[in-house]
Amino acid sequence: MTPALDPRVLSAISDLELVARVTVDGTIAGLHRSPFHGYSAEFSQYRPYRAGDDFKYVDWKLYARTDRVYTKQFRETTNLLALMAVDASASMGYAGTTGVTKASYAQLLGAALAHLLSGQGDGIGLVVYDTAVRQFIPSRTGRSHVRSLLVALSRLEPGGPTAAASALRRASELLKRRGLIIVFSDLYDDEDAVERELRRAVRMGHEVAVFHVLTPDEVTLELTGEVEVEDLESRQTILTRGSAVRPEYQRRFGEFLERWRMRCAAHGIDYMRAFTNAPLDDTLRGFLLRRRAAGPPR
Amino acid sequence: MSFDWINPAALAGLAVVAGPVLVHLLRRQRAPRVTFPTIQFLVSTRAAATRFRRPSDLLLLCLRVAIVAAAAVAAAQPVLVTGWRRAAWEQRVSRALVVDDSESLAAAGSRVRDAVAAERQAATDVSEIRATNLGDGLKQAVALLGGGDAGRSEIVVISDFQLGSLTAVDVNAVPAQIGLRFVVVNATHTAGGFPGLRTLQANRSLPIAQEITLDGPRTRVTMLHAPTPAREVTILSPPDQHDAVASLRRIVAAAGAPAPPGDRGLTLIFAGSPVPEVGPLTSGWMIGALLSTSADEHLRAIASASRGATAPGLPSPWIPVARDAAGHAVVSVAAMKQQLVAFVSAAPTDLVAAAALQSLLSAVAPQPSWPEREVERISASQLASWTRDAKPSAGGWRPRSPGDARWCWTIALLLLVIEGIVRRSRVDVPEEQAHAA
Repeated sequence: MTPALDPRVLSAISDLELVARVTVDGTIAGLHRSPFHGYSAEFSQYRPYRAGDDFKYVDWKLYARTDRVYTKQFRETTNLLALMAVDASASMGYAGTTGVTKASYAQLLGAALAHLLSGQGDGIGLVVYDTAVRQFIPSRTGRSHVRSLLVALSRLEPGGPTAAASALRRASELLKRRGLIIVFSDLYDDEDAVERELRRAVRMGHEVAVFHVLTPDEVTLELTGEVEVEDLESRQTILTRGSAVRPEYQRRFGEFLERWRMRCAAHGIDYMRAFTNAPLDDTLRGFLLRRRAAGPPR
Repeated sequence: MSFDWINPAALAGLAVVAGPVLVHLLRRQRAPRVTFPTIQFLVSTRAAATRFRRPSDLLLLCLRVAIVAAAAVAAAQPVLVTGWRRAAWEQRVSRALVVDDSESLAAAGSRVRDAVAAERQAATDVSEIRATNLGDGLKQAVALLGGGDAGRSEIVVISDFQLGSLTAVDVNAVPAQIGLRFVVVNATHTAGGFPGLRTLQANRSLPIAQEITLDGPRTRVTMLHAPTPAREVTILSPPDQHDAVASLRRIVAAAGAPAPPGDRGLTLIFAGSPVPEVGPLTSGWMIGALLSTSADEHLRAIASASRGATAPGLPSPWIPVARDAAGHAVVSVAAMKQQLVAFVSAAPTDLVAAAALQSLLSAVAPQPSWPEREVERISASQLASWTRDAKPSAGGWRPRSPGDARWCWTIALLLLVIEGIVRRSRVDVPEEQAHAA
């Protein structure tokens, strides 16, 4: 059994491709078949032959009957198309006591998934967003494509406020056919708007998975004494005393987490909390096992 | 061993020690700032602007209190009084040299300088007072030594000690704990002669000059026939008063009034005579004569008791120097070329006329410094009886500035440095924590 992949160690390695390979190798060692399911080839329609069309798609029988040359069209069928949507807002730059920022953890997790999917011949793309789409790499297959995607991931720098709704809408539109949208975010946003866009993506036929990336001390609130807390995104400050407000904070935060779990469950969205102190392979394995248990897509 | 304070009032500054304590108790601590992904789940706690709280850092508080206390103590200029210090202080002598600056020692300048140098070499804390009157010099020396902080004080008088230059009254005025010592210089001459007054010559009498000879305790005045006549006083009067004026000359001359010197003319005008055109006083000796005559109590007494002015007062530039009981000018003076002119509004037979003439002659003639001609000295036995050793100051130990204040300032500075280091270390910790967060 491979040792647990400590995110603190992995985040210190600059070669994201190597990190992804190590993570995936350790993760899928115990999985005997891929948890990702592609789509079979599916006839779509006929259209008149145009110069340059491949002759193998010409329906010769129809030509024999009608004396007209038609070309069969199929929907793209072969493999899964996945698109990773990574939140690059300022709050993702928080490291807490673990020393690993949420953005770094999302980078590692995204790289591992990209490596895993490309190894299966699936297409993988990337959307980096804060208030809008900051970077977009369309979903494709191939080693060189994955390498450029990993380079883009490694350059991710968190900063600015979040408004994920429009970015998610754009991501679901950019995915040309039914596919998998994987969101990496701390979800400090307009919850209703984000939920609406996720639901919309589901209705468009996409599978949606949400990695709720968190540091442990965001849940427990490790602040001590009287402190002036500055919001990483809005830059607003609040004077508070950690010990005095901790119970109320934990209650509110617990409600926040539960709310997101319920929202995702209501729309069949795969929701998973990813704590930055958790071994990376554990998080990835948990995700894959959940998907395998869920079975093939509808 | 005890502590003494040069500036004990500064100890009131110890009250400032309460400052750091109050600041530590009352100040509103600035909460460290930390960043957090979101504050939407946090609840604000209201902080009071000031509040009583336990001192947040006892070490810093103690350091700050100690700095203020050390500074206050240093300002009070403490002196640690040890037996050794007290003994050293009592041995230290503050010395005042009273150097006779009179004419009699003018020729003995080098001997005086040698005596002063010898006294200066014998002590470190020496002040020098030059005085023409030794009595005044002693008073100045006493005042000077009174402000000193030495254990003992001594006055050394350097003079030729002519008889009368110093009296028992002068010596007794010196406080008993101040030592007295007398250094005699230029005491070799015991005899000498010099010219005395040139007296007024009355009406064609033979010109007379005095010759004074001093021989130890004896003084001999010889009246000699002068080879040249003395300068006369010009007296203008109505013709019917010429006899009275002649009598006036004889009386004043017989009284031993000095004749005016060759370069100082004196004219006396009686009422009834034509008054020449006069101007304001132009020479220093004229102003000196005016002041001297005005201050002559004898003349003023006679003028106020006189029968009164027989002529109206004269306008400026005449200056009244003596008035009658009614306030009218009896004697007024003015200048006419290089002569002092006096107008007397009384008859030549009046007593005030004689008093005015004698006073004016005494004022016009330069006063010889008779004491400076003295050849007799204060006896060595008299000086020995006045000589005495310095005693410790009556006020006891008087701390010497700056005392031990420098050590307190050093301690305060060291504490300040330590406080800075501690404060920096206290500031660094939250910054590091915030950075880690």
